[in-house]
Amino acid sequence: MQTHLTVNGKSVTVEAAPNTLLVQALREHLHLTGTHVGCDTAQCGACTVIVNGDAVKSCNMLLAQAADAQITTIEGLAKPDGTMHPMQAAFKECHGLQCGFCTPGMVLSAVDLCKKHPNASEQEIREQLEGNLCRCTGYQNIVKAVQHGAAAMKS
Amino acid sequence: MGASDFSKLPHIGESLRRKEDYRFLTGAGQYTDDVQMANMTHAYFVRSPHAHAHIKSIDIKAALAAPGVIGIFDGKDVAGDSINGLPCGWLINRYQRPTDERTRSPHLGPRQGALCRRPRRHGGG
Repeated sequence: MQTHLTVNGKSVTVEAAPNTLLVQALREHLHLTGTHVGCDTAQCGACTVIVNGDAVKSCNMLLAQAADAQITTIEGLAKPDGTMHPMQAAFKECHGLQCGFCTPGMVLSAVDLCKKHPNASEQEIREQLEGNLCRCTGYQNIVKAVQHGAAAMKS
Repeated sequence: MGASDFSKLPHIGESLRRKEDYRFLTGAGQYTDDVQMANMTHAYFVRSPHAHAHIKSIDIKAALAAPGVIGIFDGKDVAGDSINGLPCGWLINRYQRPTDERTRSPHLGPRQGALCRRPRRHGGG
């Protein structure tokens, strides 16, 4: 089955079985391995990508459901010259990552959150990021990073 | 060296910039699951759900017939090839874990065998 979609600004066509998940298409067909599979059951959020402007857990969506969609993965967040998105820079600055496995999903969820709620309070950030788990348990600095990132995204 | 002397060592009490963050933040980190090589296979370790249970038999027929499965290896195979027990990653001298004692599972969750298969998923399984 052929599915056409736009990934990080590039138009792509993926030839895959109808039961292919979006995350499989990204990782195994397009070799974008920055999107991680942590749990495969939509609990951990490591597979989060942006689909048509919404943060979505790509292990819980079929590739076919993403037909003609605009997808942003972690590989497509920085500028082409390598300059990081303000949220990525904030995570680095605030030590919002340790092993880095949850980071791509965490950053993309945070970007979506701050676009929709630029003035989110600490409590709201904690609630909104409930679907992203960090097994290093670095939540304190993740929340701090999201607050810094939100401010940087506004300016 | 007295305790107070540690403050004179380089980097003590200082925040260090991590070198790995850029690649982790841009999706360029490479974790085990990200490695793709030609003719790569995946192994699954099957563990006993029961502690101290007697293993009377292991029936691998249905699993072996599943699409993509290359081989299934249990304690007998490992013993036959003189591989011995799987080494523990940490220094525990008292006990080296057997792959499969054939008759008894000594702890909850010893490795009962490894199952190697080609495609990582088929039909979402």
